[in-house]
Amino acid sequence: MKTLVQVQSLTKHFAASRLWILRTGQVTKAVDDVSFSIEEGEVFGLVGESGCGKTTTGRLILRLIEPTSGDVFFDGQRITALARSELRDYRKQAQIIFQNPFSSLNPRRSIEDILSDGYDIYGLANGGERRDRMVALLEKVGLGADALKRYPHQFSGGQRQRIVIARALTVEPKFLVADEPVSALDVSIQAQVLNLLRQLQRDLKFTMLLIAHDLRVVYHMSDRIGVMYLGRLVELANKQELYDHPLHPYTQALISSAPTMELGRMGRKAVLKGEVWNRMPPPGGCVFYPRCPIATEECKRTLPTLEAKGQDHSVACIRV
Amino acid sequence: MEPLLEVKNLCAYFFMGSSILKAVDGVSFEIQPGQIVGLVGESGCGKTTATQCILRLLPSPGRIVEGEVRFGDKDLLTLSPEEMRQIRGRHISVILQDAMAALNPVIRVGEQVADIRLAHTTDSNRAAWEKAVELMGQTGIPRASERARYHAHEFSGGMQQRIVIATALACNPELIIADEPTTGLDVTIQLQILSLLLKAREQMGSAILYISHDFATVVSICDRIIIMYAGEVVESAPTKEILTNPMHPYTEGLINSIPPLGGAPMEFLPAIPGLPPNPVDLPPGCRFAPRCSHVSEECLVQRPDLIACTPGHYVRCFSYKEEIE
Repeated sequence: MKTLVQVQSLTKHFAASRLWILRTGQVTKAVDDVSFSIEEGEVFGLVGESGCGKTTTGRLILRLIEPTSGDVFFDGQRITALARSELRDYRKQAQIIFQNPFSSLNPRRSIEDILSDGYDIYGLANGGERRDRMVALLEKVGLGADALKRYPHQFSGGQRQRIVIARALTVEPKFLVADEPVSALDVSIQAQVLNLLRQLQRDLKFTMLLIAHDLRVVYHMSDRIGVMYLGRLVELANKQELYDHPLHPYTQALISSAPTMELGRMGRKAVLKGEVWNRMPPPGGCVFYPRCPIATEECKRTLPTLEAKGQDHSVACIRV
Repeated sequence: MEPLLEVKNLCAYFFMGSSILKAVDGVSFEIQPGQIVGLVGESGCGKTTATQCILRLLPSPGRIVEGEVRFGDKDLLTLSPEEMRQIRGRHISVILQDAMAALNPVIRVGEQVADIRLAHTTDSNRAAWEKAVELMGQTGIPRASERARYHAHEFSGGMQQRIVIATALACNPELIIADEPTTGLDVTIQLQILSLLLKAREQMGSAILYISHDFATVVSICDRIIIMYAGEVVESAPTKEILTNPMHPYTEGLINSIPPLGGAPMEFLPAIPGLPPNPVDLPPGCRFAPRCSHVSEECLVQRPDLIACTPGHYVRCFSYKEEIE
């Protein structure tokens, strides 16, 4: 298989404040030395808790924000080296779906206006043809042609998310970043939108980076999964392998914390101590050290890097 | 056993000009002392409105038009505002979803916990403060005596929720209403909060009405589950029953909509088609009929009653016949 997206030592540090007078020298390592690759046609899931850097990673790949260091390659092209004017072509190939369908659609624009942007910017179609394409696309996402004249507030959350998906697909991208596409939706609507994304992915064969905090969603949708914690990729494997044999203690905790549909599981769950924010890792040590149940003195001093453990499975932990 | 809380045929409507929004329409259920009951449903199904009625905190233009809420030997809907104030915080307390919004940003968190003690007990200021620190410690806040002097914004979401739980536990209430207490928290933190609630029940024997849209978390802590849809209870049964023998097509659809974790990969989820009905324009028959796969003629014209199928298992669907009186 061909690699479509390659991420190499991608790093994004945010300074605490832009104003020098407020600068404390504190730097938030939102994404720290993250490397992975996404094969053409696959769904790659990124999972982790809030603040782990999964959204930042998605935005860095699309160059919606600039990396501090590291590289992103798309179809062999070095995206991080593109000039601003060259990004336009990249945007046609790589699109994004945002989490909140209530804030990602302009309330003053009709669905027709919203959808026509892609066609106009890239000169793909206009007039009757543009309309036909929009109607076909709306049908694909489960909405009728009557939607064109309506405005975002006339739709429910699930329908809006369908519009957001349609908008991303107007330019027929090769690659789609779906950042928490269903977390703002109700359970029954979530299932509908997940089915829609799967159907579209099968039909249009785009490659997808799915970012979500819900392990169930990621497990259901993805072929391979990367687990992030405090800016670092701690484990990477195909989904079955990751679920059946999680190696990193954080992945293990994440899987055992996911509420199960079984009775009486609560008592047997291993409750992970502490929180991410009140337990910052020691400088130079493993990011998971403060909460890790199997940490040793060495973990305090060594920052583990992702190492291959068996076929299509790598983990960043010196204890496994 | 005498139930701790008994809600009978509760109807709460919002009167908005010419239209009436039937947020809660004929809801009945019971909670036994020390029981954890889950109230599950999607946004807009009336689960939060139902709890606002129990606490008599329904905002205008909402009005309770019918029903009874028995708490012990009192009907909460007939109490005076002053009597109701004595109930809230002391006998029934509440944990809300957004902890930051529930806490006052300009008052030290310890004072907010102590306030409950000052309002309902004979504690002196000092005793109330000490109790607040103790409660915060019990809910897992490290260095509680120091942290009690902090303000809400100095805590993370999980820690803020612990403080809200501390206020809810301050007077050993008989009933705690937890409205989406873990939504918005990370899974590992969610688990910590759930075990905290279980601990509260164990130590103080409080009953908990646990409201959530997340079926999986409800299953993990509740003894009994009530499923709401479009302002009605559509099914209610012990957790085990709901899991092994879901009767209402909506319950079944809801369970099937949850992506499975582990096991053989599934290509598509058996999702429920369509959308919930508009609450100002409800279908005349069964409210789930437009989305139901087992729909019949009868369902479209007549509204089914909530019937007892087996002891303790209630369902609102024409597919089932009442088997016990």
